[in-house]
Amino acid sequence: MTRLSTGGLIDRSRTLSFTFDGVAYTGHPGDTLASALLANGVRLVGRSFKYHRPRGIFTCGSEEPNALVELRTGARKEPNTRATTVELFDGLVAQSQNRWPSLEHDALSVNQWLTPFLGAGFYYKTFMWPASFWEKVYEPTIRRAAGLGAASELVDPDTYEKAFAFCDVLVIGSGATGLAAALAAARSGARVILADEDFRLGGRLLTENVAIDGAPARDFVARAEAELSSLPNVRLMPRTTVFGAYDGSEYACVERVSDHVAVPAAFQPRQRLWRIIAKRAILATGAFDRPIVFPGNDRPGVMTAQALATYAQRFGVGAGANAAVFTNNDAGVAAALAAANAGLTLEAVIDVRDALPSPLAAKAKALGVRVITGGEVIATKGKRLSAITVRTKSGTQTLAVEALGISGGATPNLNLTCHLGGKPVYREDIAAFVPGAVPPGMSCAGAVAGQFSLSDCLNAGTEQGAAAAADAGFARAAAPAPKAEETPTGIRAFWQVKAKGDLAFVDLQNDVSAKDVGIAHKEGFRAVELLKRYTTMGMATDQGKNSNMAGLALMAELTGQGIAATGTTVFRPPYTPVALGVLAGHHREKDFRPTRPTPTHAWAEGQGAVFVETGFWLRAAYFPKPGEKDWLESVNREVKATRESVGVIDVSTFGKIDLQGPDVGTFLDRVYINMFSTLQVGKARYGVMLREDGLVMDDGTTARLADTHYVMTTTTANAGKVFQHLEFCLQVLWPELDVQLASISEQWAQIAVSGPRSREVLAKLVDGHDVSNAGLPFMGVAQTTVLGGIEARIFRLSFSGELGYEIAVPARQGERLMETIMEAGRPFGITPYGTETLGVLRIEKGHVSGSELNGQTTARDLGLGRMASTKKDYIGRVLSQRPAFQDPARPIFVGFKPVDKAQRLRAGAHLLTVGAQATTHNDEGYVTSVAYSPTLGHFIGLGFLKRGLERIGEQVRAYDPVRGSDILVEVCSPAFVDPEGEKQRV
Amino acid sequence: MSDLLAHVPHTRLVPEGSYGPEGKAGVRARQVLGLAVATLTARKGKAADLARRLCAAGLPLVDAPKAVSTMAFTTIGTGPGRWLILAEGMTGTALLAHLGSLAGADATLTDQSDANLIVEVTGPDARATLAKGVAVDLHPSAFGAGDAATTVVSHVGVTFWQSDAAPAYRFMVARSFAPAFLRWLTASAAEFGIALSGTGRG
Repeated sequence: MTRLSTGGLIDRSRTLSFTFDGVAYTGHPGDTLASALLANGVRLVGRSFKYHRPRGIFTCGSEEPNALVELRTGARKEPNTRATTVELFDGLVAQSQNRWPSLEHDALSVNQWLTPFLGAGFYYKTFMWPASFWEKVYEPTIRRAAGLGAASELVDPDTYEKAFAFCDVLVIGSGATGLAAALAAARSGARVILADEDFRLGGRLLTENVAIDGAPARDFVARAEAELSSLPNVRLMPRTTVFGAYDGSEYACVERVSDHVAVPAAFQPRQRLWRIIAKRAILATGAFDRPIVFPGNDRPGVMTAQALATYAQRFGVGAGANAAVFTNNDAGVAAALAAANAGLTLEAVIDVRDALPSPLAAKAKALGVRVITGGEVIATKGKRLSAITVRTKSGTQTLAVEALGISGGATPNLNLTCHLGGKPVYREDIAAFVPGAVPPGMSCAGAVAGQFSLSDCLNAGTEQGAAAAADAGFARAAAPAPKAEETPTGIRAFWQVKAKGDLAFVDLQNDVSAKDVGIAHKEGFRAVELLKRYTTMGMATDQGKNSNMAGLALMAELTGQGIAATGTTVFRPPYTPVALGVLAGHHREKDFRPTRPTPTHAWAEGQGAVFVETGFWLRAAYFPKPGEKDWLESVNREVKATRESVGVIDVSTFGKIDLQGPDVGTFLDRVYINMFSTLQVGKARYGVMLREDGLVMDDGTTARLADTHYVMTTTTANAGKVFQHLEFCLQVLWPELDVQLASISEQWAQIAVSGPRSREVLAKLVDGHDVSNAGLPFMGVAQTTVLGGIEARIFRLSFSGELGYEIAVPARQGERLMETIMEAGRPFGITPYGTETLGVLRIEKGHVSGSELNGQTTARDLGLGRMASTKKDYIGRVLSQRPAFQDPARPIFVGFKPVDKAQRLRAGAHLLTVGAQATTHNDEGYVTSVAYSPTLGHFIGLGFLKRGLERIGEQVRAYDPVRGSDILVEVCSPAFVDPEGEKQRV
Repeated sequence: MSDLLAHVPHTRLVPEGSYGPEGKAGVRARQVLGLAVATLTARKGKAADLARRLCAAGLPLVDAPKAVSTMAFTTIGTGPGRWLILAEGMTGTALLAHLGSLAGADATLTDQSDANLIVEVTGPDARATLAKGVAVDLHPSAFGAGDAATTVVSHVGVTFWQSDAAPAYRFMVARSFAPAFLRWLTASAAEFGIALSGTGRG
């Protein structure tokens, strides 16, 4: 056990049980999995990505490169979880990754002896031939060898949700700077959100032995938290990672609501995705302690000096029985002393500099800490660190230590400043990149801005917090900044120990060593973005938070162009990995998108309908009857009944748009290819509208209800798009037109009654309106009442080719209308039908639908070219005249029937001249819609064929390699049934 | 996946009842019935005239995202020169006739009484619940009684307004989207407990 005897922000009175690789351990509330493992003496926690080298806990935060574990079991199993961020809970189960058969004895650790062959670019150079091996052999093998963890593959049992929050000032990070900023902003009355990824506020203040306002820093944290909690204008969000900065002052965050418990409490989500819209944001994310590159710097027991201090101070844990610290800067020395203060046995502080600043030297002396100046660690020993070799001018010496804290300086945690394109700027004086241009509304304070001294942090936080609140319109509060001592911040830039021996790692997570940077340089991959891709440095969960700085410094040295000119790779959201589940939130499985029921949905359910999703809508596909063996039998029955007697279908899903105003006629003339201003009141007309590029956008019928009042129908699929298009035309193209639009798609239920007996059915519904052929002729419209006083609009239209009517009533009356129609039609054997039969009827009739209006076809292609008026202008007219659209060889709309009537036609089949090779060059068109026609007794199809109209009667080949079909078809007119259109006019 | 709504078909309104921790109802939601609804759109260039004329007739129209209520009517601005008019105890036809007589040739009217469902959301946790889908700042300093917005909630287009300071909010949702809206509302409010009424027994 390496739990120190006292100290730490843990509750020693309570014990939590957990297991790691099947072994039971205990920890305390306040521990992370990492601190609890170290407290139990577990130092080897994983195997590295490529070489399977033993690895330990390297950091104390979300930048952890090594300690990735599979957390939990079964459906809740999460691979690649950072032990350093996992709050310990009772019953936690974790497994190490990337090892077989065991963590202690990993078979693939032989890879480390193959190091000379596995350097940067190894895959690119080795697995090139034969090409066919890449997908089938190389990639699967490499993935198996290198994969970290495995997903559960079970349905996630937890829920996730999204939420919006608004504030005047968002403070990101709750260390000294963040707390000071939040206090200053909150005291002015501004609405403040303080977010921190940790479960405890305070940041580095929980680790440092410093005084604020004359009291220990932790007291300041407690007081600040108490004050902020008491204010109604403040929302504290611990366990919340701000992972992205976006346009519109929007910040994306993940709140880990229930990650710290075994199972979320009832009705609580696992995680919540916040979108915070902040008038101002203060970035107070501090800085990372970065590693130094030296041989064997990856052994379990080597960690950042900051982590060493944090485990000792915050968690009361010694990372080993004894430790040393290797550094080039004052903060590294301070971290060492903080660890020693907490009771860790500190054997030595090794500093590359020739002397320490006198206050630090005095503190070290007071603590009895040995300081080796001008020293470098040149080697390490042990599967778990057991010794280090230190080189000074006077020679080398070996120190037996179990832990080594390393600190190469502070790297400001500025990722969020770059999400909208900002580029970090290098400052030689502090050997660090600081934020360049920041997103609008953001300001940076404290260590992230290169202000490393505690007093500077407190001052900057207070100042920026007050300034942000003032920007948001609040009077500055008078309270002064908390007072703290100046902490030393000196540094001598130092990146790499030049020594031969073991691999010197730059990127622990991706097993990228200094040698690999050299290879990249030698082979020309010198720009940082190329260096990243070639070596994989800075990839995966930590995205180079530890490694990038040293990596680019090494490259800068090799190229001689300096660090500032070398620059950094681009930081993109998310700052740390985000689970897909939380991005989906409520919208998963059937809640992925809304399901829209039609007004007669419940009735159709009662009729045993089988439903189909058409966009958001759920529509009846067909209505099977007992004894029918498949859908085709049901559909054939529905088609026959409709053609021979009467059928009924809910067509409420069509888009319906109310157009009123004196200029509607003019407006419609401009959006449709054909004329509508001349349409008589009480009549409907079929119309086609084009996109600006001359291709067909949508079709439908539009009726004129009164002189200045029209109602348009659109296809189901394009209801929203057409409305948007019309709004655009009115608001942007022709604002002078006096036309008012309203969507009435939801106001009206619309039911189509079709078939030779439909008039007899209709006659029973209307309240005395004359529905004879003279009283309500083909394409006529009646505004009347049905069922004893229900307002109704009756359109005599036909999609099926039969005598037919569409009856619209207010939506709440839809079900009643359907039931009454069924009752009225009972003597005629009225048959409800769904979208399948709707399709068969229109294909038999040769009407175009969505498969033909596919965004690639013109009115001419669809056989509707003659509808286009030559007496007016309309949207798409000019571009529909393009030569390519006028080419006589362009495929045109025709019908097809199999030569062998027993054969099945396939939609999607391509058309070839008989005898021609099946090549793209010989492609003459394609089949868009097919159906089995019960009326004709064989399959029929619609589609587009080059010079199709001239080839009626010719045989062509319908070739469908996808579904394995290749048959002869005869080209014919698309109107298979009643080509003269007599049935609909009777 | 929570089984909170597992038994509710996606095509039906979430049935009335209590959802969430036993005995908690931080949110109450009910379907408001018996309202006639019409869209009122000013004819080209007539918005100001129309607002003046209707205000004089006792029907206050504000050309802004505001909800204004009188004894019988509520008017809600949904776009420049566009309003929703709600009326209690009246059919859609009667509402259109009444508005037509006031507006004359200055406006276009469309009956929408059957097009929507109106859901009232209230209770101490109403704001926290709505924050899970409404991308509008509902803090009292930003959105108060009489404020309205036309926006998207959980992929569903809505017009909503704060009807009193309690606070109570009313959401108008297209009829076929109402099941999806209620699923989102119920799931979002479940942690606080929600008592849902007026949506039928399922």
